[in-house]
Amino acid sequence: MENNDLVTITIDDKTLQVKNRTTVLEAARSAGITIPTLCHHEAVAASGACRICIVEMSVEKRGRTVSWMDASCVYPVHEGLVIKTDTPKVRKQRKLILELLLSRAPRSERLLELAAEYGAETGRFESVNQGRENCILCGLCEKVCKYSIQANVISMAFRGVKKKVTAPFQTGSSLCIGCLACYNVCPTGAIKYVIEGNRLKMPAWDADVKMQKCTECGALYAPSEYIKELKKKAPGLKKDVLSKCPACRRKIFKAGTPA
Amino acid sequence: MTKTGTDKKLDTILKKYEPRPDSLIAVLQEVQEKLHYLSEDALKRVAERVKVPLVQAYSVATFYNAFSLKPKGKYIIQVCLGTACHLQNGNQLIEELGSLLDTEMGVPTKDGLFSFEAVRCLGCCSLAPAMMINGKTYGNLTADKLKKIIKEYKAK
Repeated sequence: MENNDLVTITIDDKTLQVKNRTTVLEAARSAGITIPTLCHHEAVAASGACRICIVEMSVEKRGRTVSWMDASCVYPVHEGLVIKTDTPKVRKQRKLILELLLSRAPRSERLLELAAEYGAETGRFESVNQGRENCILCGLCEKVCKYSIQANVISMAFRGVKKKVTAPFQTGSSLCIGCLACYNVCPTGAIKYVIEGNRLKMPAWDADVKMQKCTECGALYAPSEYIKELKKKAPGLKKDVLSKCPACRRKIFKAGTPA
Repeated sequence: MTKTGTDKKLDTILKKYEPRPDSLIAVLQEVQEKLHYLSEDALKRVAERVKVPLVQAYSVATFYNAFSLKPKGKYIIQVCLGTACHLQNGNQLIEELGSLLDTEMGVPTKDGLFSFEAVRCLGCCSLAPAMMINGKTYGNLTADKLKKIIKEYKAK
């Protein structure tokens, strides 16, 4: 069977046709069914790390129904697959997963939201977060840094209970461009940044980069290294876009004379 | 600037391997063996040579127990604390080594000759309590035997 062929699947009693080997998560979303995710992001390949998107699946095999549970973000659909996204079994599993995740990230707003929905309690398991509050080690930050931005600043290091995301030797990475991709994809709000004077600082990676001033109004609007990278990756960008803050940009574009 | 002995050793190792990412672990292993640890500088040069980002080399170096980012002695003493050796007072060997070498676990002696660490089961439980020095196994150890062995290594 080719990847472009259509297969018939059933999700929560809705029967639909989707391309062979799309993931269960994609299929469900295309049918307007919500499955909670944490470690999933369109920008990078799914990894099935957080398990919160777990669903119940079944097929008919020789007259019998065979059912199992799996992470929907990495499970490719096939002909005749029946998926249930919100059964008592699914809810029970998600509750357990959340309680485990909460042991690392007890104060994450997103996790607490989900915990309320699934009746999960904080503190069921002993905390093991190596001083990096609210990190569930889903690996999204590492992946966007490596594959999307290609800055290669951070990665998983150490292992077991000592495993954590870090820059090499935990010291201020000269490679960080301050793009904040890691900050933006983090599902639990574990990554933080501050702007002090004209510097953008990310304590988690000990990164410290210079912010650029808008040539029009002087406001700090983006890290200099980030702008440089943008120039390289998108050579067609207009000078006004690169050198001015969003507010000034809007004014210029409204006037209709971007340089 | 003249190159130090360490730099030269590193150069020789780096030259031996193909400059591509899949050489990473092999190079790290040899650097660990010859220089007894992976310094920040060494890790940077290895990463550069095999064309992987430093953070990837760091990730690998911190993941495997075979690699150490802190200096180790020329002779690495691995004291077994597996079940059998534990029951045969393997812990006492560690205490003994501490006072014998005047250092603590994981910290090399001042002359850089020795460092000792605890490991789980060397696979020779009938020789308990046992230890290994740079791959050579010593069994049925007593405080006296230990003293003798260390003396031999010091004389080498």
